[in-house]
Amino acid sequence: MPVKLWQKDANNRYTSRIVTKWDSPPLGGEEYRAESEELDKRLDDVLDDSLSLLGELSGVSINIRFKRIWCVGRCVRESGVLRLPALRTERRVLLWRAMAWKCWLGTRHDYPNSMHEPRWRELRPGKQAEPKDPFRTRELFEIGLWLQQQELNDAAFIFGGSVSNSIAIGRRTSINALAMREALKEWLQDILPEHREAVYMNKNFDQVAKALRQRWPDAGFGAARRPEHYSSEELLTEVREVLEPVLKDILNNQRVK
Amino acid sequence: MTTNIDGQPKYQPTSTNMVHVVESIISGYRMREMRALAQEPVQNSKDAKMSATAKVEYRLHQRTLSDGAVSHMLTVTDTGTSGLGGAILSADEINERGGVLDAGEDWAAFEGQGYTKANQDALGSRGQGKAAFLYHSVAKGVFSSSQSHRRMVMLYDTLLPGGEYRLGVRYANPLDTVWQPPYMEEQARSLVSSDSFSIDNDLEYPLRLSPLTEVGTRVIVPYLSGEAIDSFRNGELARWLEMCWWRAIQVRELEITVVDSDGVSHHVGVPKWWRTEFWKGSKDALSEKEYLKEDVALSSDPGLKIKRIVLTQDDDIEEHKHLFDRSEPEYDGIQIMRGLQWIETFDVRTIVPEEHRAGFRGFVEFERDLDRTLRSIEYESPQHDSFNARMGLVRNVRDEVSRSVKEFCELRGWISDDATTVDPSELEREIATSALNVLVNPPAGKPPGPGEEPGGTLWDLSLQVDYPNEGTTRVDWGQNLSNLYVRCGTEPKRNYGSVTLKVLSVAPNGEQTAIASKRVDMREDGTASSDFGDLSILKGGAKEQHMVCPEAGKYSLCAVISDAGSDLKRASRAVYVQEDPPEPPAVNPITLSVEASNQRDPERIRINDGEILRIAAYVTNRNDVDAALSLDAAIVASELPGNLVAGIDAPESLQLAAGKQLNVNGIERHGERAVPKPVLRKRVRLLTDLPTQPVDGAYLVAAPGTHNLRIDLYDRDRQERIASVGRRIYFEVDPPGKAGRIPFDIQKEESVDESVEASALWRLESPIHQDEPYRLVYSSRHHIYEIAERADSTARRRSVGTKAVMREIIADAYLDWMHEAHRENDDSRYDTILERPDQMNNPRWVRLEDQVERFRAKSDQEYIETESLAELRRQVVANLVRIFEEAEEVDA
Repeated sequence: MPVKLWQKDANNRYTSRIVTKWDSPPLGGEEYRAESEELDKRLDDVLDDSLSLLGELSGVSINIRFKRIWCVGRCVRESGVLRLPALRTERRVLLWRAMAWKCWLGTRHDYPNSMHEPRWRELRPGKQAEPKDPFRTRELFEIGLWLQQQELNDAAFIFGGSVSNSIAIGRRTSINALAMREALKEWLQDILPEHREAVYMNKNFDQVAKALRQRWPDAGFGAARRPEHYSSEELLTEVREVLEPVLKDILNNQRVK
Repeated sequence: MTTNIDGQPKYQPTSTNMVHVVESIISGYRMREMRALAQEPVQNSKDAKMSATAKVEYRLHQRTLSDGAVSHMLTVTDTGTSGLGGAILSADEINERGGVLDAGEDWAAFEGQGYTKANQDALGSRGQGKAAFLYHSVAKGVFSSSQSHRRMVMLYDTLLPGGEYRLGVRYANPLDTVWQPPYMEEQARSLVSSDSFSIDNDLEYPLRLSPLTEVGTRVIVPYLSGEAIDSFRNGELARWLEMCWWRAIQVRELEITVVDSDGVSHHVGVPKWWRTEFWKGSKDALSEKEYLKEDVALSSDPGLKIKRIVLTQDDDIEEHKHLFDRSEPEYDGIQIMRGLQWIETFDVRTIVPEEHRAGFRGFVEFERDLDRTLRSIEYESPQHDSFNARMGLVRNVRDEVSRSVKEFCELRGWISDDATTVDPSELEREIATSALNVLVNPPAGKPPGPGEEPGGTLWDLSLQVDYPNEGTTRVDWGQNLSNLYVRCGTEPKRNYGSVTLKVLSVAPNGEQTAIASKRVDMREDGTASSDFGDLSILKGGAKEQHMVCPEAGKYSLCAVISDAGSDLKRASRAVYVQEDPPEPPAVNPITLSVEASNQRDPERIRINDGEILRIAAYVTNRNDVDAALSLDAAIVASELPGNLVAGIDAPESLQLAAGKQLNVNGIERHGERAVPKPVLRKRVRLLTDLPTQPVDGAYLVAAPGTHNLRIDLYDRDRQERIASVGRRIYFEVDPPGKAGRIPFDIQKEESVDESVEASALWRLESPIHQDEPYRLVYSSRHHIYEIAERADSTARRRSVGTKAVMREIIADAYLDWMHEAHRENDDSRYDTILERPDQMNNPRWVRLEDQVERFRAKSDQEYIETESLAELRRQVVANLVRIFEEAEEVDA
């Protein structure tokens, strides 16, 4: 997938190059300039839309980091960029890398003819000055895309508005299906609010994710039947069975402290 | 309490030939009868321990028989134990209870056979304890020319906490008999001390023992074997006892004494290198000769931990003198202890350089949960002398131990991690690649029909035949194989016009002889069949409808589908001429084999948008009973998040089978080769976006990246897991590594320090991550490699040495690679050799199939690589090397 990658040179000038692979050499890829620039332009819209959506949701009391990645994910999906021929058959790593640099630098596709967009920095999924940790950045954008499969309130309810909690489930591929999140939502609705708050603590939520992953492993026995292969009733019963003892453990530990 | 019908005590006969049973049980011990004698009695005492320490005394007694002959008797007495209490039950009473005994019914357990005890795992209820004693009783009759005349006797008396006294007798004549009801109280006390205890009409023995005065149990073995007597006198028994139990003695759970017939006693102790218990002190206080690693969590299950790995090496420690055989490590390795008992020794010969091995010792013990987990028949042999290397948990433990040994060797400076791996030379890579290509080249399919994609047809073929003798594949000269019937079919079901069905025989040397051939039209449903009548088995002559078998041995009768000059599929039936087929192995796993390939180009691993993934799964049941199974299968994403494709919320995975019920027939006769049964066939089109036009068949919209095909097989009746197989699917991405279809990357290891000689010629490193290939690393510092290099420089034919050694490495490593998956009941890799229609006319390959089958079956029986297994390995490797050479000659 060719993308236009904006960067800053040693003299603090914005430059761009076309890259086709994660480790592309500094030169090359010019034959893909047209489609890369088209994508770059579409990404301007994605980022503008994300900012605008984030503004609309400013009154919603959900952790800003969580809201931010959800908004970017939703706008990426709605923009249709993922269906561009160049992206359809490619992994998304380069897309996230290009988007991250655009957020950090605020460079629109027609730079230097257009203004900088410093407000895009608000959309940075990480706090670093530059996207130096590409894998983390990539993971956060990817998690945002995954989270937006549900409406913001539902997603925030399931993960307690915590990005870390969503990563705990999202990166475990055997339990990240939509069906599992729906079952989790029901289970969380069934338990007492104070118990729910205990579950939302990062350390405890990790325990929840681990228990679910143990029941539905990635490999080995049990991996051929995933949560999405159960009916919603069956899945909820299974989830309850797995999580009841985990909840007991969590509450016991709270009491001990 | 049990009584006889006539109310009189007597031997209760059974139909069991106990002499054979005992010999068979003892032959199951890797280190045979002396280890059994040192292990089983003490284990029983330890299990019955009621005080802090159980005391066990092995005593040798000398007696003069009525005919003046000198005989010896062994007693093994425990105290600090519970004695053999609980109800006295006859075999019938145990049967009536469904073979289940309650906890505490120790008397019935000691007398019974084939029971299970409530709240206990199956280990230890198979009669090993009794066999360990009985084996050493050689009552007269043993010197008869007929082995069936051997008789064995053991007596056992017990004093229970309430003061009750019991004396029981077990007499194998050779049928298994138990004196019932047992002698009780004063009669028992009096008989134990009698000068002439009558065992049978012609067997009387002067027991002359004092009755027990402390609660406990005594087992009495009259007519003690010469071997056991010698082991008392030369100290061998005491050494076995020390090796098995030193750790339990060290923590004072056991006290063991050996007393010879002169009354000289010897307390079994702790080997001197472990006496300081240096692992108890601070880690900082360890000397450079000592190594300790504690609380090692296993990567497969972090909840299970190795408690400690303790190693030491001191040149002052004398080289271990083997009690059994040098090939079996005893103290000279890492003793793996379970429940304070020595189970097996991890062999360090491939890691520790030879000059440091003599003084090298080690042991490993486990945290409680892991210790308990390993104490099950799944992981530990019933003889308690080895762990089952087929189990991932056991391999994990061994890997951890191996890592520690390496680390220790590095710390001591004996081996260097300075060794660097480099790409092999072009020539070496070429030899390796060409050898591997012979093994992994996909079988040629039928040329595509009109409108058909290449590689798109799967063929089924069955050969039905009635054997002349019930339940066996043995056929004698002059007998007939009748009603030969060949049936073939295609998947997908389609009429391919006509094909040729051939019947041929394959001699033990692989030579093939055509018997009959017919051209048949296929039906609309994609099947064809033909009768081939009866076939006489003759020693000589050559007529139609005869199968000429000049020598006795294993032949095969084969059916072949062929078309346009190529053979497409073969099915075969074993025919043992003039000899019985071998006894089926005791362990016969049901295995699963999976193929997942690109239908358009089976040689290309990558699947592109719109292409079809062809999936086929086969189950092989090598047992003689049918299996009721169930199967789950799915293609699942393995990346984060694999389900979001092109902005549409596509299904995350595609379920191919959910609890699919299967009945897989077992083999009908001894000696038959089990046929893999197709249980799942699917074609799935992989797409990056929802299809705009109707798609023929199943499809999955998936994100570009790696996905997994997962198939799990379960036993439906026993609710047990049988096999779990995964295949990586590379959708719109290339597989990593250089290997492609070649199963491993090849690397050469060169040591910076030229004085360091490699201890192993090659090693196969499993990938840590699924996406990585295996790595076959061979060492240029190994003396065999160096000899090969020297041969190259002197030989007339260029690089003859390197070629030979590289081919041998590849063959050996390939066998390991195939077997690694088989340990998890995945036979897909074995099938790269066993299911090769393109090689069906190659006699050498036909022989290879047979050798590989035998290697696999033997491996299933052995928890470790025994000498006989190593011999089978050598045969396979030798044959493979010849196949590589022949393939190269053809290419040349």
